[in-house]
Amino acid sequence: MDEEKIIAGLKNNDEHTFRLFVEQYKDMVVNVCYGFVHDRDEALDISQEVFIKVYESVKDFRGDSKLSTWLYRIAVNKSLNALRKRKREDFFNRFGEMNLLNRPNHRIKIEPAPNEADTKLERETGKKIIHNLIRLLPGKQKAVFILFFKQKFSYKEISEILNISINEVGVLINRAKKKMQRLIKDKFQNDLFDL
Amino acid sequence: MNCNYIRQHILDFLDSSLDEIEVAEFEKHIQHCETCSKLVVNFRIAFSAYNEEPQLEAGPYYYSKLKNRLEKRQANKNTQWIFFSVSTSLLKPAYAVVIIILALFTGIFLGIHEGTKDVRQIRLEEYAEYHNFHEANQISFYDEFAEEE
Repeated sequence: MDEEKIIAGLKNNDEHTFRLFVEQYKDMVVNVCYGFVHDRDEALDISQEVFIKVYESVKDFRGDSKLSTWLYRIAVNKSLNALRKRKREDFFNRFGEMNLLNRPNHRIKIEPAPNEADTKLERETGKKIIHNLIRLLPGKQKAVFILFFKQKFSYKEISEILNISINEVGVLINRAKKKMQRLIKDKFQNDLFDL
Repeated sequence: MNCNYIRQHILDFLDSSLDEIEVAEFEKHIQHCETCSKLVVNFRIAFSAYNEEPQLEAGPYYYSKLKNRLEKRQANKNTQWIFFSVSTSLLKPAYAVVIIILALFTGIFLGIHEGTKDVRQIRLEEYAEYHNFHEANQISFYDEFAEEE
Protein backbone atom coordinates (compact mmCIF):
# COMPACT_ATOMS: atom_id res chain seq x y z
CA MET A 1 0.00 0.00 0.00
CA ASP A 2 1.51 3.36 -0.94
CA GLU A 3 1.98 6.16 1.53
CA GLU A 4 -0.79 8.41 0.22
CA LYS A 5 -3.33 5.63 0.63
CA ILE A 6 -2.06 4.91 4.15
CA ILE A 7 -2.33 8.58 5.11
CA ALA A 8 -5.82 8.83 3.60
CA GLY A 9 -6.88 5.63 5.42
CA LEU A 10 -5.47 6.84 8.73
CA LYS A 11 -7.17 10.21 8.33
CA ASN A 12 -10.47 8.40 7.76
CA ASN A 13 -9.90 6.31 10.93
CA ASP A 14 -9.88 3.16 8.79
CA GLU A 15 -8.99 0.35 11.18
CA HIS A 16 -7.64 -1.95 8.51
CA THR A 17 -5.14 0.70 7.37
CA PHE A 18 -4.16 1.48 10.95
CA ARG A 19 -3.53 -2.20 11.60
CA LEU A 20 -1.38 -2.53 8.47
CA PHE A 21 0.53 0.59 9.44
CA VAL A 22 1.17 -0.68 12.97
CA GLU A 23 2.23 -4.13 11.74
CA GLN A 24 4.62 -2.53 9.28
CA TYR A 25 6.37 -0.22 11.72
CA LYS A 26 5.91 -1.74 15.19
CA ASP A 27 9.32 -3.45 15.41
CA MET A 28 11.18 -0.40 14.15
CA VAL A 29 9.41 1.89 16.61
CA VAL A 30 9.94 -0.49 19.53
CA ASN A 31 13.66 -0.69 18.71
CA VAL A 32 14.04 3.08 18.38
CA CYS A 33 12.41 3.47 21.80
CA TYR A 34 14.53 0.67 23.25
CA GLY A 35 17.65 2.48 22.02
CA PHE A 36 16.76 5.27 24.45
CA VAL A 37 15.33 3.50 27.47
CA HIS A 38 17.12 0.11 27.34
CA ASP A 39 14.15 -1.60 28.91
CA ARG A 40 11.92 -3.89 26.84
CA ASP A 41 8.66 -3.29 28.71
CA GLU A 42 9.15 0.45 28.80
CA ALA A 43 10.04 0.48 25.09
CA LEU A 44 6.83 -1.45 24.30
CA ASP A 45 4.83 0.95 26.43
CA ILE A 46 6.30 4.06 24.78
CA SER A 47 5.89 2.59 21.31
CA GLN A 48 2.17 2.13 21.95
CA GLU A 49 1.93 5.75 23.02
CA VAL A 50 3.64 6.62 19.73
CA PHE A 51 0.98 4.82 17.67
CA ILE A 52 -1.81 6.33 19.75
CA LYS A 53 -0.34 9.77 19.10
CA VAL A 54 -0.25 8.98 15.37
CA TYR A 55 -3.86 7.81 15.46
CA GLU A 56 -5.02 10.90 17.31
CA SER A 57 -3.09 13.53 15.39
CA VAL A 58 -2.81 12.16 11.88
CA LYS A 59 -5.54 14.62 10.87
CA ASP A 60 -3.03 17.43 11.50
CA PHE A 61 -0.31 15.70 9.45
CA ARG A 62 0.33 18.00 6.50
CA GLY A 63 2.62 15.70 4.56
CA ASP A 64 5.70 17.98 4.82
CA SER A 65 7.78 14.88 5.49
CA LYS A 66 7.40 11.16 4.95
CA LEU A 67 4.96 9.41 7.26
CA SER A 68 7.74 7.18 8.58
CA THR A 69 9.90 10.25 9.34
CA TRP A 70 7.04 11.77 11.29
CA LEU A 71 6.55 8.45 13.12
CA TYR A 72 10.23 8.31 14.13
CA ARG A 73 10.12 11.94 15.25
CA ILE A 74 7.22 11.09 17.57
CA ALA A 75 9.11 8.00 18.79
CA VAL A 76 12.24 10.04 19.58
CA ASN A 77 10.26 12.76 21.35
CA LYS A 78 8.23 10.27 23.39
CA SER A 79 11.39 8.39 24.38
CA LEU A 80 13.18 11.57 25.41
CA ASN A 81 10.12 12.60 27.44
CA ALA A 82 10.11 9.21 29.14
CA LEU A 83 13.79 9.62 30.04
CA ARG A 84 13.12 13.11 31.42
CA LYS A 85 10.25 11.73 33.48
CA ARG A 86 12.46 8.90 34.74
CA LYS A 87 15.18 11.41 35.66
CA ARG A 88 12.66 13.51 37.62
CA GLU A 89 11.35 10.43 39.39
CA ASP A 90 14.90 9.30 40.21
CA PHE A 91 15.62 12.73 41.64
CA PHE A 92 12.51 12.74 43.81
CA ASN A 93 13.09 9.15 44.90
CA ARG A 94 16.61 9.98 45.92
CA PHE A 95 15.41 13.16 47.59
CA GLY A 96 12.74 11.18 49.41
CA GLU A 97 15.26 8.70 50.67
CA MET A 98 17.52 11.54 51.82
CA ASN A 99 20.44 9.87 50.15
CA LEU A 100 21.68 12.98 48.43
CA LEU A 101 24.70 13.34 50.66
CA ASN A 102 25.67 9.71 50.44
CA ARG A 103 25.42 9.21 46.72
CA PRO A 104 28.56 8.24 44.84
CA ASN A 105 30.56 10.81 42.89
CA HIS A 106 29.41 9.49 39.56
CA ARG A 107 26.05 8.16 38.54
CA ILE A 108 27.22 5.33 36.36
CA LYS A 109 27.00 1.93 37.91
CA ILE A 110 29.45 -0.42 36.34
CA GLU A 111 29.34 -4.03 37.21
CA PRO A 112 32.74 -5.54 37.89
CA ALA A 113 34.34 -7.16 34.89
CA PRO A 114 34.46 -10.93 35.07
CA ASN A 115 37.68 -12.49 36.19
CA GLU A 116 37.48 -15.32 33.75
CA ALA A 117 37.54 -14.65 30.06
CA ASP A 118 33.84 -15.05 29.55
CA THR A 119 33.14 -13.31 26.26
CA LYS A 120 29.41 -13.19 26.79
CA LEU A 121 29.79 -11.46 30.13
CA GLU A 122 32.39 -9.11 28.70
CA ARG A 123 29.99 -8.15 25.96
CA GLU A 124 27.14 -7.65 28.43
CA THR A 125 29.35 -5.46 30.63
CA GLY A 126 30.54 -3.50 27.62
CA LYS A 127 26.99 -2.98 26.42
CA LYS A 128 25.95 -1.67 29.82
CA ILE A 129 28.85 0.76 29.81
CA ILE A 130 27.83 2.10 26.40
CA HIS A 131 24.21 2.41 27.56
CA ASN A 132 25.32 4.32 30.64
CA LEU A 133 27.56 6.62 28.62
CA ILE A 134 24.66 7.33 26.25
CA ARG A 135 22.43 8.03 29.23
CA LEU A 136 24.75 10.82 30.30
CA LEU A 137 24.49 12.64 26.96
CA PRO A 138 22.21 15.67 26.63
CA GLY A 139 18.86 15.05 24.84
CA LYS A 140 19.65 15.99 21.25
CA GLN A 141 23.14 14.48 21.31
CA LYS A 142 21.65 11.30 22.72
CA ALA A 143 19.00 11.19 19.97
CA VAL A 144 21.52 11.79 17.20
CA PHE A 145 23.98 9.25 18.62
CA ILE A 146 21.35 6.51 18.86
CA LEU A 147 19.84 7.22 15.46
CA PHE A 148 23.26 7.27 13.79
CA PHE A 149 25.24 4.55 15.55
CA LYS A 150 22.47 2.21 16.60
CA GLN A 151 19.64 2.65 14.13
CA LYS A 152 22.07 3.36 11.27
CA PHE A 153 20.11 6.28 9.88
CA SER A 154 21.94 8.61 7.50
CA TYR A 155 22.69 12.27 8.34
CA LYS A 156 19.90 13.28 5.96
CA GLU A 157 17.35 10.97 7.57
CA ILE A 158 18.32 12.14 11.06
CA SER A 159 18.04 15.77 9.96
CA GLU A 160 14.50 15.06 8.74
CA ILE A 161 13.49 13.10 11.83
CA LEU A 162 14.77 15.72 14.25
CA ASN A 163 13.92 18.65 11.98
CA ILE A 164 17.44 20.07 12.09
CA SER A 165 20.02 20.79 9.39
CA ILE A 166 22.44 18.12 8.14
CA ASN A 167 25.34 20.24 9.43
CA GLU A 168 23.80 20.30 12.87
CA VAL A 169 23.57 16.50 12.82
CA GLY A 170 27.33 16.32 12.18
CA VAL A 171 28.04 18.84 14.93
CA LEU A 172 25.86 16.94 17.41
CA ILE A 173 27.49 13.60 16.59
CA ASN A 174 30.94 15.11 17.13
CA ARG A 175 29.85 16.71 20.39
CA ALA A 176 28.33 13.44 21.59
CA LYS A 177 31.54 11.57 20.82
CA LYS A 178 33.68 14.23 22.48
CA LYS A 179 31.49 14.21 25.56
CA MET A 180 31.69 10.42 25.77
CA GLN A 181 35.45 10.47 25.36
CA ARG A 182 35.72 13.14 28.04
CA LEU A 183 33.66 10.94 30.36
CA ILE A 184 35.90 7.99 29.57
CA LYS A 185 39.00 10.05 30.28
CA ASP A 186 37.83 11.99 33.35
CA LYS A 187 35.48 9.73 35.20
CA PHE A 188 36.48 6.19 34.60
CA GLN A 189 40.01 5.97 33.43
CA ASN A 190 41.48 2.63 34.36
CA ASP A 191 38.64 1.31 36.48
CA LEU A 192 36.19 1.46 33.57
CA PHE A 193 36.68 -2.17 32.64
CA ASP A 194 38.54 -3.05 35.84
CA LEU A 195 41.78 -3.18 33.91
CA MET B 1 50.90 10.56 21.93
CA ASN B 2 50.08 9.71 25.55
CA CYS B 3 47.39 7.68 27.37
CA ASN B 4 45.16 10.74 27.80
CA TYR B 5 45.11 11.31 24.07
CA ILE B 6 44.11 7.68 23.53
CA ARG B 7 41.22 7.95 25.99
CA GLN B 8 40.11 11.21 24.44
CA HIS B 9 40.05 9.80 20.91
CA ILE B 10 39.10 6.20 21.43
CA LEU B 11 35.70 6.54 19.70
CA ASP B 12 37.26 8.44 16.79
CA PHE B 13 39.69 5.55 16.43
CA LEU B 14 36.97 2.91 16.56
CA ASP B 15 34.70 4.60 14.04
CA SER B 16 37.65 5.43 11.73
CA SER B 17 37.40 9.21 12.12
CA LEU B 18 41.13 9.71 12.62
CA ASP B 19 43.42 10.48 9.70
CA GLU B 20 46.15 8.08 8.61
CA ILE B 21 48.94 9.72 10.62
CA GLU B 22 46.85 9.77 13.79
CA VAL B 23 45.85 6.13 13.29
CA ALA B 24 49.52 5.14 12.88
CA GLU B 25 50.48 6.95 16.08
CA PHE B 26 47.47 5.58 17.90
CA GLU B 27 48.40 2.02 16.94
CA LYS B 28 52.02 2.61 17.83
CA HIS B 29 51.00 3.73 21.32
CA ILE B 30 48.65 0.83 22.00
CA GLN B 31 51.27 -1.65 20.86
CA HIS B 32 53.51 -0.50 23.70
CA CYS B 33 50.90 0.43 26.35
CA GLU B 34 49.10 -2.52 27.86
CA THR B 35 46.51 -0.38 29.67
CA CYS B 36 45.45 1.51 26.54
CA SER B 37 45.55 -1.66 24.51
CA LYS B 38 43.10 -3.32 26.92
CA LEU B 39 40.90 -0.23 26.92
CA VAL B 40 40.70 -0.23 23.14
CA VAL B 41 39.96 -3.96 23.03
CA ASN B 42 37.26 -3.62 25.67
CA PHE B 43 35.64 -0.69 23.89
CA ARG B 44 35.75 -2.55 20.62
CA ILE B 45 33.92 -5.46 22.29
CA ALA B 46 31.50 -3.05 23.97
CA PHE B 47 30.61 -1.25 20.73
CA SER B 48 30.27 -4.43 18.78
CA ALA B 49 27.96 -5.81 21.52
CA TYR B 50 25.99 -2.56 21.44
CA ASN B 51 25.67 -2.57 17.66
CA GLU B 52 24.83 -6.22 17.46
CA GLU B 53 22.16 -6.18 20.12
CA PRO B 54 19.36 -8.40 18.84
CA GLN B 55 16.43 -6.47 17.46
CA LEU B 56 13.39 -6.63 19.68
CA GLU B 57 10.16 -8.01 18.35
CA ALA B 58 6.94 -6.36 19.33
CA GLY B 59 5.18 -9.72 19.68
CA PRO B 60 2.03 -11.19 18.13
CA TYR B 61 -0.45 -9.51 20.51
CA TYR B 62 0.99 -6.06 20.04
CA TYR B 63 -1.85 -4.75 17.89
CA SER B 64 -4.63 -6.15 20.09
CA LYS B 65 -3.03 -4.62 23.20
CA LEU B 66 -2.65 -1.33 21.36
CA LYS B 67 -6.28 -1.44 20.25
CA ASN B 68 -7.48 -2.09 23.80
CA ARG B 69 -5.42 0.78 25.07
CA LEU B 70 -6.70 3.08 22.36
CA GLU B 71 -10.32 2.11 23.06
CA LYS B 72 -9.86 2.68 26.80
CA ARG B 73 -8.31 6.05 26.09
CA GLN B 74 -11.19 7.06 23.86
CA ALA B 75 -13.77 5.78 26.34
CA ASN B 76 -12.13 7.90 29.05
CA LYS B 77 -12.18 10.90 26.76
CA ASN B 78 -15.88 10.35 26.02
CA THR B 79 -16.65 9.96 29.73
CA GLN B 80 -14.82 13.16 30.45
CA TRP B 81 -16.71 14.90 27.65
CA ILE B 82 -20.08 13.55 28.91
CA PHE B 83 -19.21 14.64 32.45
CA PHE B 84 -18.28 18.07 31.15
CA SER B 85 -21.50 18.45 29.15
CA VAL B 86 -23.67 17.08 32.01
CA SER B 87 -22.00 19.33 34.51
CA THR B 88 -22.47 22.27 32.16
CA SER B 89 -26.21 21.53 31.79
CA LEU B 90 -26.57 21.10 35.56
CA LEU B 91 -24.77 24.33 36.19
CA LYS B 92 -26.97 26.37 33.86
CA PRO B 93 -29.76 27.03 36.42
CA ALA B 94 -27.13 27.79 39.04
CA TYR B 95 -25.55 30.36 36.72
CA ALA B 96 -29.02 31.90 36.18
CA VAL B 97 -29.67 32.14 39.94
CA VAL B 98 -26.29 33.74 40.54
CA ILE B 99 -26.91 36.29 37.78
CA ILE B 100 -30.37 37.16 39.19
CA ILE B 101 -28.97 37.58 42.70
CA LEU B 102 -26.18 39.76 41.38
CA ALA B 103 -28.67 41.87 39.43
CA LEU B 104 -30.88 42.26 42.53
CA PHE B 105 -28.02 43.33 44.76
CA THR B 106 -26.71 45.73 42.12
CA GLY B 107 -30.16 47.29 41.87
CA ILE B 108 -30.52 47.60 45.63
CA PHE B 109 -27.06 49.08 45.98
CA LEU B 110 -27.62 51.61 43.24
CA GLY B 111 -31.03 52.48 44.66
CA ILE B 112 -29.62 53.13 48.14
CA HIS B 113 -26.74 55.06 46.69
CA GLU B 114 -28.99 57.26 44.57
CA GLY B 115 -31.46 57.70 47.52
CA THR B 116 -28.65 58.82 49.81
CA LYS B 117 -27.61 61.36 47.25
CA ASP B 118 -31.11 62.85 47.11
CA VAL B 119 -31.50 63.17 50.88
CA ARG B 120 -28.12 64.83 51.11
CA GLN B 121 -29.03 67.22 48.32
CA ILE B 122 -32.37 68.06 49.93
CA ARG B 123 -30.70 68.77 53.26
CA LEU B 124 -28.14 71.01 51.58
CA GLU B 125 -30.88 72.89 49.80
CA GLU B 126 -32.80 73.25 53.08
CA TYR B 127 -29.68 74.48 54.81
CA ALA B 128 -28.98 77.00 52.05
CA GLU B 129 -32.57 78.21 52.17
CA TYR B 130 -32.45 78.60 55.93
CA HIS B 131 -29.16 80.44 55.76
CA ASN B 132 -30.33 82.77 53.04
CA PHE B 133 -33.53 83.58 55.00
CA HIS B 134 -31.57 84.54 58.10
CA GLU B 135 -29.09 86.55 56.13
CA ALA B 136 -31.87 88.38 54.27
CA ASN B 137 -33.64 89.23 57.52
CA GLN B 138 -30.36 89.97 59.36
CA ILE B 139 -31.22 87.58 62.09
CA SER B 140 -28.29 85.96 63.80
CA PHE B 141 -28.38 82.58 65.43
CA TYR B 142 -28.22 84.29 68.82
CA ASP B 143 -31.11 86.56 67.97
CA GLU B 144 -33.19 83.64 67.02
CA PHE B 145 -32.19 81.91 70.22
CA ALA B 146 -32.99 85.04 72.23
CA GLU B 147 -36.40 85.40 70.58
CA GLU B 148 -37.23 81.86 71.48
CA GLU B 149 -36.24 82.50 75.07
